[in-house]
Amino acid sequence: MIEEKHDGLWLGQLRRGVADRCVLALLAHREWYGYDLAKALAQARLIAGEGTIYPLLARLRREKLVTTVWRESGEGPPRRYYALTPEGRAELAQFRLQWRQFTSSVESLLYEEGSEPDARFH
Amino acid sequence: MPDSTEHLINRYLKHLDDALRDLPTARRKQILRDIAEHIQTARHNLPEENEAQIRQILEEVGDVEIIRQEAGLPPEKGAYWGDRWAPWLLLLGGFFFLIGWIFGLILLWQSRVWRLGDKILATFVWPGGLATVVVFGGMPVATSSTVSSVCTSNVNGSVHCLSPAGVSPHPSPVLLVILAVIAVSAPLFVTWRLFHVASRS
Repeated sequence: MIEEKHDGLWLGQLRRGVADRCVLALLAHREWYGYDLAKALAQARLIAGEGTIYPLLARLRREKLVTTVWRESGEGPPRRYYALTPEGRAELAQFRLQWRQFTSSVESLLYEEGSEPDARFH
Repeated sequence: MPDSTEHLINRYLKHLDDALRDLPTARRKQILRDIAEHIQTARHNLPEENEAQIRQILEEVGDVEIIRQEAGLPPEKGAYWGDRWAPWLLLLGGFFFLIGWIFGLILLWQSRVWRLGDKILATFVWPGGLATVVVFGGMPVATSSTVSSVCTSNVNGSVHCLSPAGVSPHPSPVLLVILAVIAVSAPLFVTWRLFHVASRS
């Protein structure tokens, strides 16, 4: 569970803003079972509760950025796995560029000459 | 499997269902199915199941309010201010020329917090709220004073008073007190019940 009180509201909002793009990044490598996606994102502290992954995945499906496939499971009934669509892959590529530009802009403002010199090492 | 763990899970899913009630049915049911499956998978991974571990799983799944917001719905707390005001207006709104009570009634029936039974109960106990109790509470005194004044004067100068149908105009004080206690406590109980139901939802 994310401790927003300690981390600050801005960080919680930032996490919420990028969580769906991080899902696309995970799906870029392989298909994922929803439960495992939820665990991975919660461990990375990108979602406030594992259950929030399902409305997020539903939204990505409506936007046609992800799709689902049924796979047999050795531990019970077939499971629905999530996979990236071509549109999702294109969206991820664009997000990677935007994220690099965004972090570069923020870093240049934070660490430009005259700002707190030790901030980078805290 | 112990009933208590099953009960915990069912209660969580019921709360989630309530929290997502404003979503289209297909989307709501899909999220509920996904989360129920998530809980089942987490249970399957437990070496041995007990109540503490089920509570831990549900805590990790997260607060239903956060899931509601992730589904694109507005925050529930504060959205329905009427749910906080309706019980008070039903109890005391009658003192404001009855308009306050009628406004409370509208808020009550618009709300999704209370079930039909509670809405019917709050509507009929009592229409007008405590104001009705105060108004009707004064009636026996007024009635008795009117009845006792129906007297006849005889030729010999004596005055003879009769109560209609031979019924005493003065009911027993004990009965009056009991009726008054019931009349006042009934709407207070309904108000408490409305707040209690709202706080659980």
